[in-house]
Amino acid sequence: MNETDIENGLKARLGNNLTDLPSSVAWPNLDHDGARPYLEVIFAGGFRTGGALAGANQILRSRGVMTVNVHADKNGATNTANGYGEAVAALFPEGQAISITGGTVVVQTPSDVRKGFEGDAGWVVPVVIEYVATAT
Amino acid sequence: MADTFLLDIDRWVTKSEKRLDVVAQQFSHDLFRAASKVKPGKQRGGSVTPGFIPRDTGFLAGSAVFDLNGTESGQGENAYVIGLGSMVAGDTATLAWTAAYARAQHYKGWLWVENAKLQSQQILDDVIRRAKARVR
Repeated sequence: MNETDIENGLKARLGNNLTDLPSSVAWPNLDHDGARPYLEVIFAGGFRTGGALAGANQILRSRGVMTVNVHADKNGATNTANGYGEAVAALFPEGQAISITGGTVVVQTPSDVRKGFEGDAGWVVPVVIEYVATAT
Repeated sequence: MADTFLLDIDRWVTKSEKRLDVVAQQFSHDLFRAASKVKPGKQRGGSVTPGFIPRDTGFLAGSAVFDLNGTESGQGENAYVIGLGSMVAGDTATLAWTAAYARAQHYKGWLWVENAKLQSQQILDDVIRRAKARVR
């Protein structure tokens, strides 16, 4: 299990379930045309806990956060963006386990749908998903 | 005999209370410090880095406001340092950034609050260990 495995597992969970969501996603480190509505995925964290006694590269757990920003048009009702936010949060409920290569990612708390704000070019509603990945 | 026993209990209670206060203060301090790290922002050649407050003009980092139990007791970078001195266990300490664009910058990927929150358990464990050694 490594950070790529964790990110891939979380990205697949979102990317394979876009039925009620905008189909356009700005993935980390990939160009995006900025056409709204779209989802923007950002990862942070990667704080690891190990269990090795003698210099082995053993990763038992990795804590992190995946933020999915819903980007909607300005001058519209906030309901649409909030609705997309709720749909994202519903994909990552508390306790949701996602199998990844070499381990499991578990969502730690109910995913937050934070209050929207005016971004550079649109209305943004962040959804914050806290997870802990555990090696098998 | 009974008097000595009561005195022992009294000392134990005082010591426990002191430890609680030390843990509350030190944990809040270390958590707020983790959430207050700065890095050059995009205008100064930096790139979005989770866990840092972008500093271009210094306005965002300087917009920090600290309050204890609802009373504002510090403004600016490191606003929390002096205010925390009067904190006791059970108090509510809040650190907030009041710049209008703080949320936009935060969710754009800097995520300094989320990143500090992810480290909270680790910080607490460390503080408890230190408090056990310090308060005798």
